[in-house]
Amino acid sequence: MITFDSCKTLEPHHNLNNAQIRSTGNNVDLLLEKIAKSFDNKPVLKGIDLSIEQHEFVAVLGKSGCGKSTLLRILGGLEQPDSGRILKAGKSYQADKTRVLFQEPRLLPWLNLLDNVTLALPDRWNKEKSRKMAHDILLKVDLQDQINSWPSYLSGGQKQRVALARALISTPQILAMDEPFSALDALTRFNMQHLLEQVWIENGFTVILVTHDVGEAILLADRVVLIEEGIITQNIAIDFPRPRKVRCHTLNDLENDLLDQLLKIKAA
Amino acid sequence: MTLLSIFYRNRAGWFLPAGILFLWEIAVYTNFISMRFMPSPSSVALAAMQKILSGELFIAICISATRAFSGLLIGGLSGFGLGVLNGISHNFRAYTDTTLQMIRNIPHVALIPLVIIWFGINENAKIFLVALGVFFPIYANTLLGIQSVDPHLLEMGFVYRLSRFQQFFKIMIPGALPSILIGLRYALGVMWLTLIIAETISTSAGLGYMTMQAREFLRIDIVVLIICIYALLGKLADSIVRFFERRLLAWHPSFQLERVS
Ligand SMILES: Nc1ncnc2c1ncn2[C@@H]1O[C@H](COP(=O)(O)OP(=O)(O)OP(=O)(O)O)[C@@H](O)[C@H]1O
Ligand SMILES: [Mg+2]
Repeated sequence: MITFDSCKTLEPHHNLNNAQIRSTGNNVDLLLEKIAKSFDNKPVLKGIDLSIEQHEFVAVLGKSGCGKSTLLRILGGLEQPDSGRILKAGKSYQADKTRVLFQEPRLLPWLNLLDNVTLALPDRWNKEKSRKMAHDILLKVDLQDQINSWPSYLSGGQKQRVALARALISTPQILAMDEPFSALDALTRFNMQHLLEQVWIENGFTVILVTHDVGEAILLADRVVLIEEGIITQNIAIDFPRPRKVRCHTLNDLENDLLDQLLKIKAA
Repeated sequence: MTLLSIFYRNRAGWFLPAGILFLWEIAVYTNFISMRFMPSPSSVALAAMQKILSGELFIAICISATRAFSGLLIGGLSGFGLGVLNGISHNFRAYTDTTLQMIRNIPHVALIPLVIIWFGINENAKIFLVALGVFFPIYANTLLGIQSVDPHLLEMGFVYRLSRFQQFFKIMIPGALPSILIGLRYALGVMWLTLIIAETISTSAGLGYMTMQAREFLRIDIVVLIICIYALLGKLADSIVRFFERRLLAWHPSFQLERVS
């Protein structure tokens, strides 16, 4: 169970190491160059430039309709950009090691939890091995008692945890998340945020999290970027040690600053 | 769940038919209804006994059921195949769907004169008519089912790099299954109806033939018996599909509610 207590058991030195690696700043893994995309001649993304390091946690903010989901869908290979290019470790980017976690869990209602999770593993794998792995990962998201249930028996938070388990079992290099927790109640969301932070620290993938929630972005991300009018207008590093406390003063100040900036755009 | 327990669960529903049978028996017995127009339930039961013991009924049912299910197999499989093909391939649908929708508007029993010219009055004629009748409900519902598979799930399949084979068998077919089974149940109704009409018009064996003979010999009890047999066969086929529905769609929220209640 990912309780409030277990969140405190994260190893802080592990994070500090990561922070040190990141602070060198020349470790770019994923490079987005002038990504542009229009729908029906209406430009949505007008030239996104973004460089992301390996194992970085980037939060993407922006007002509704600014193209956040479109950017994620491009990263997930679900949409092709009209122009611009993406490089991964200097080579042309392939989306096959990227997993997208959508706002809805998108589980297959006709498969039980175990089968929903093993779906992400190659079909040719040994069945026993797949089931063992799925079982372990469902244990991690605290659903080991329901492995044989159908998704319709689960609550929203539980479903989203299965979706997370399914994304994790396929060992992604990049986890792209589109407001994955926005439909959850505050307490469940809090637990999910900590679960995400924990698995991110343990597994070393890159996270790109689209969110509406400035607090969530500051709580989790190494860097927050803001999309406005189809380009990135803010790119703010959040250099706070982890684990971060929701009600910490400095975090609150930062949250207020960011909110002010966001409100300014919306007013303009 | 045994047949008996189903019967017991619906016991309230059986009062009315039992009462009607009882009143009917009395009405015939007291000559309120003439034996010439309507046989009494007991005489129908007696006719059933005779026909069962002589083995005639069993053979007739086998012959008719073989026709029905051959037609269902041929029409159903081709309807399913075309439905899947048109559901998956936009191009294929663009070329074939309009044609199919036009043919669909012809009532298939209207083709009986043509069918007799083409096939004569042998088995093929009846199987052809049944196949034609069941084709459209299964085609239309399969197509609808495949088209209404949640595109979000297909997108998920893409993100997880499922093979086309997996996309088809793990997402499309299960997603379309509720609709396909509805089509199948509807097709079964069409199947019996078509068979009855086809058998009544031209035949030399089977249930329809038995009815026509009984009519010539004014054995009205046998006529009513066979009407009842048709009803029973229809009900049986429907129950089988419902059984599969409950097994295959157990994941479906509406079937879970049914189980709880
Ligand atoms: N497939 C599509 N066809 C046409 N227009 C689209 C399509 N997908 C997105 N758009 C348009 O692109 C714009 C950006 O959409 P997108 O979903 O990326 O916004 P968003 O930033 O994710 O918004 P929200 O925060 O509300 O989720 C919207 O105006 C939307 O109408
Ligand atoms: Mg969106």
